Amino acid sequence: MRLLNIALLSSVLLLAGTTLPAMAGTAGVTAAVNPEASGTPPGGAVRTIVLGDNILTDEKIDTGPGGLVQVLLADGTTFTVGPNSSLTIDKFVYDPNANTAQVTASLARGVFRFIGGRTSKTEGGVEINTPVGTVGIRGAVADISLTPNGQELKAQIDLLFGKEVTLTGAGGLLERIYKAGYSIIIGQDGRASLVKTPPGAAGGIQQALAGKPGTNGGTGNPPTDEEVGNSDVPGDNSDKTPHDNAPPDFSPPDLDAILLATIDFFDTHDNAKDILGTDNPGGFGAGYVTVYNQQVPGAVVVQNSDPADVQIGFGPNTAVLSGLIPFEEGSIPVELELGFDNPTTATVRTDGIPDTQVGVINTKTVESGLLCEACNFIKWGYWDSSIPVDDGVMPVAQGTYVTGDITKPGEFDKFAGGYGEGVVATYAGTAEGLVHTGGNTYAASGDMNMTFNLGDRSGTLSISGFDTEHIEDGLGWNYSIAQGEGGVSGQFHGSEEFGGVSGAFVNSPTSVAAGVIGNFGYTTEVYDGVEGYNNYSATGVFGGSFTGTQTPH
Amino acid sequence: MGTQVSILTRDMALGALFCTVLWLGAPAAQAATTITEPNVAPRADAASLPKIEARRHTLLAQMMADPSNLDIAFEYAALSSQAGDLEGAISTLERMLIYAPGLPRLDLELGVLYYRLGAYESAQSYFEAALAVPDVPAEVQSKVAPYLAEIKKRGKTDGLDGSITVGARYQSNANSATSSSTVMLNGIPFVLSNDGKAHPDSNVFVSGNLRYVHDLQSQGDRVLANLTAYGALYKDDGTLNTGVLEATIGPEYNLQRVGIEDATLALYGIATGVVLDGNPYLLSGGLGLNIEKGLGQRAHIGVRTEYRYESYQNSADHPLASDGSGSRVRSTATLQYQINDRLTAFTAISGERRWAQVGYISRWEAGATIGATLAFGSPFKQAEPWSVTALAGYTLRRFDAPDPLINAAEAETDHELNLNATLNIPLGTDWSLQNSLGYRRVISNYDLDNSENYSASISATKKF
Repeated sequence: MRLLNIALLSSVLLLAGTTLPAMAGTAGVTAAVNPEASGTPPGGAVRTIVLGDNILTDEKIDTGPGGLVQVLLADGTTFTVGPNSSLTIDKFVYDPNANTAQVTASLARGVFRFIGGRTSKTEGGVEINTPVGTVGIRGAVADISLTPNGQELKAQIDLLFGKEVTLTGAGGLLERIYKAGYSIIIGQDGRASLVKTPPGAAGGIQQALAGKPGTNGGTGNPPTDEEVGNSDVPGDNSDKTPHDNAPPDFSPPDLDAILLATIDFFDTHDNAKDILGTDNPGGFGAGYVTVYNQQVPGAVVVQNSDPADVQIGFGPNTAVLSGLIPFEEGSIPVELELGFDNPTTATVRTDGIPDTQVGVINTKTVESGLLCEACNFIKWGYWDSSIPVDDGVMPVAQGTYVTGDITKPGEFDKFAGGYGEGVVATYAGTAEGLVHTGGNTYAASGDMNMTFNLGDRSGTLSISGFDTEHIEDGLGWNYSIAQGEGGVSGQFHGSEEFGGVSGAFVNSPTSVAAGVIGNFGYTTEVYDGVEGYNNYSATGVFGGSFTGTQTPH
Repeated sequence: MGTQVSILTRDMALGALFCTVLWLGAPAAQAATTITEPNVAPRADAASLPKIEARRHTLLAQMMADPSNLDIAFEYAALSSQAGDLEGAISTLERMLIYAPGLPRLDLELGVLYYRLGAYESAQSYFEAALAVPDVPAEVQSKVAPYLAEIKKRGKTDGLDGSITVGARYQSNANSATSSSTVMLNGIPFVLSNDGKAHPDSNVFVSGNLRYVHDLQSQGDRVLANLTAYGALYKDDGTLNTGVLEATIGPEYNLQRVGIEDATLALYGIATGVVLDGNPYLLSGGLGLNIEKGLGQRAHIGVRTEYRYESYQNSADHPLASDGSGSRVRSTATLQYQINDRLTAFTAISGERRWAQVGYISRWEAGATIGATLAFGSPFKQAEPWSVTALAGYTLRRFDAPDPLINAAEAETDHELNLNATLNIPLGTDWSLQNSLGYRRVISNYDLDNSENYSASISATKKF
C-alpha cells in the first residue's frame, strides 16, 4: 500500500498543473530515519517510522535520544529533525506548474534544519510555529534549536545561508535576520535578541543532525568513500579549486589603477601650459604693414584698411602683422611673424606670398641701444620687410621689437622687490615706436613709467613726452593694466582715442622681474594748426627696469 | 551646457545598450518558471539547463519513491550542483551522511557546497569533520587544506588586510606632451622647447593598499577605512616623480534592512595629497557615496559619486597649478556581468564636473569603458588560473572657456581613447605578477594637448 501511494505521488508530480493538496494528507516521505522515531497521525495511533514512510499533514513526528528523521517534500524541501524533537507538518501545498509551494510546520521541541526547495522561494512560503513564536524563512538554510528548560537559552534560530529569517510573536515582528551568519536567541525570559552566530554553533547542530557512529539512517546500503569519489558529485564540486568555487567577487574593476599606467596624476593641460615659456625667450613687436599703400599698425587681425578698426593684439612670444600687399594685378594677403630665437635676436618670417609672383621678401632686424640705464638685459630694435622690385625695393612692413627672459608667474615669490599684499613695484624706461600721420611714417620715442600692485596684480602704465620732435611737449596717455596669462596686459579707451598695451615682466640674469617689456598702440587726432585735425597713430615697444617699491599705507 | 547633456545621454545610452547585450547573453531559461532559482550561478550552460531541470524533476520524484537509492541520489546531487541549486545537493548529501556518519568524502563535498554558498562557518565544520576520522584518504586531506586556508581569509569579517605592489613602467610619452614640435597658439606656430616635447621615460613604482574593516555586528554594517599610497621615481625626468596618499573612511550599510536585497550603501570621507618632484602639488578633501547591488547571480552594479575640493599648489615647475583649484564631482556607474566561471564582462560610464579658478580648466567630462576579465588555465600544473583583463575607454572633455594663451576664440575639447590589457599571474595564494600594456591617445583642438602614449609595465603584488 505504501509503495502504491509513493508511485501515485511520483506520477502526480510529473503531471503539470496538478496542485498537491489533492493528495489528501500526504506531506512527504521519510528519506532517512534512525530508530527511536515515531509518528502520530491525526486521530491515529502512534507508529514507528521507517525509511520511505509517507508523512501525513498534521502527523506528529517524535524522536528519542537516538532518533533522527529527514523528511523530503515533493518540492525538494527537507526537514531534518534531530534527537529529542517533535515536529508536525501542518500544511503543504505544491503547484509544480506555477513553481510555487507553501509549508506550515510546528516544532514543539528539539533541533531541526530546514533546507528550502520551492517553499522558501515562494513569498510567505515557509512558516514554522515554535513555542517562542512563528519563524518565517525565505530562500534560506536555517537551523532551529529549542533547548530544554533550565538551560541558558530557550531557543536559537540560525541563518546559515540565504535571504531572511523572521521571528514573529503575538505582538508582531520580534526579530529579523537578513545576513547569513547571524542568529536570533531567545533567553529564558522570552526576550529575543540578534547576535552573530556563536562560534561552533553550526558544528554542534551538524553533529546532532548527522547521526551517530554505527547508525545508518534506515538503509541497508550506505554509501562508501569510494562510491562518493566515483560519483559525478566531485567533478563540479570538490575537484574545483577554492578560487573556482568561491562566490563571485564583484568588487568593481579598479579602472583608475588599471589606467595608472597611462595617466599621470597631474593635469596634462596645466603641465603643457607650464612648459610654455620655459627656455623660450619672449618678446614683443609692433609696426606697420602696407595695406593699399596705407600704413596700418601692427595687428593680429586687419579687419579692413581703415586704421581705426585695427586691433592691437600682440601677445608674449609672438607678434604677427597681417595685411594686403598691392601689386600690379591687385593685392595678396601677407602675414609677417616676428619671432625670438633667443634673448638677443629677433627674426621676421613671412607667409602667404608666393615667391614666383612677387619675389623674395627681405627682412632684417637692427638692434638698438638701451631703453634705460639698467636695461642691459632687454634687447630692442627695428625690423623691416621689403620686396625687391625693378626700381629698388617696395616696403612691406616695418616696426620695432623688444625681447627678454619673461618672468614666469611662479617666480614672483623670488621677486627682490618684495611680494605681498599691497606692495607696489615701480618701473621706468622708454617707449620706442613708429608714428603714422598725415601720410608720413617716422620714428618717435617717449618716457614709460609703470606702477604695479603685486597684491591684486594690477596697475597703470603711462607713456609721456612722446614724439616731442613733432608735437610740443609731446603726447601722453595712461593704460590701466591687469595681470593676465604669463604677463601683463591692459587696454585704454577714450572718447576719441583707442589703444592697447601688452607686456610682461622680464628677468635679469640675477633678479626676477627686474624689468618690464611690451608693445603699445595708440590712435588719436592731433591739431597741427595748418590742416586742422589729423589722424595720428603710433605703435611700438617699451622697456624699463625696476626702480623700487612703494610701501603700502 | 546643452551639448554636454546630450553627450552624457548618448554615453548612457551606449551603456544601456551594452547592458542589454549582456542581459541578452544571460540564460534565457531564467524566464522559464519550471527552473529552480539557483543559489549560485549555474555551472551548466544555458542551453542544457532545461534538460537538467527536467531530469532533476524526474529524479526528485524517483527519490521520493526510493529515497535510499544511491545512484538516484548521487545523480540528483551532481545535477543540482551543476544547476546551481546547492540546497538541493546539500540536503541530498546530508541525508547520505545520516546513512554513513563520518564518511570523509561526504564531509568534504558538503564542506565545498557550503563554501560555494559563502556559509564558511558550516563549511569549516564539515572540513574539520572530514579530517577528524582516522585514516582520512590522502586525496581528501589534500583537497581540504586549501579550502581551510581560503576560509581563514574569507571568513574574516573584521581586521586589517592589504597589498603592496612593486613594479617598473616604460612610457613612450611619460610627460603626456604633444608629439609635434610645433603647436599653434592663437593661429600662430610656436616651436616648443625640449621640455615641452613628448619624451619617453621609465619609472619604478610602489603602491600599497591598507584596508581596515570594523564589523559593527549589525548584520553586515561595517566601518571601512582605506589607505592607498603610490610613489613613482622616473629615470630621466625628475619633474614627473610622483607621490600620492589617499585615505578614505566611513560606514557601509547592508540595505537588506530596508528590503533591498544584496545591496550596500557606503558613505565616506576622502583626504588626498599628491607631491610632484618633491613639491606639494595637490591637497584635497571630500565625501563619497557608493552603492553596490547584486542583480541576480551573475550581474552586479555599483554607482559611486564623489565630491572633492581640490587645492593645487604652485611650484617652480607648476607655477599655474593653483588655477586648477576648486570643486570636482565625479560619478561612475559600473556594471559587471559574469558570463561564465571564467569570463566576466564589465562596463562603466562616468560623468564629471570640475569647477576651477579659471574657465579654461573648468570642464565637463563624460566617459565610457568596456572590458572583460578572462581566467584561463595556468600553463603550469597545480597552479591557480591566470587571467587577462582587457579594456577600452573613451572620454570626452569640454572646457568652459577659451584659454587666451592658446586659442582665444575657441574652448578646448578633448577626445581621449584608452586601451589596456593586463595579464595577472598568481604565484601561490598571496603573490601575483602583473604585466600590463597600455595605449592612450588624446585628440584635442588644442595642439598642446594632442598626445599619444604607449606604456608597458611589470609588477609584483603581495597580499597580506
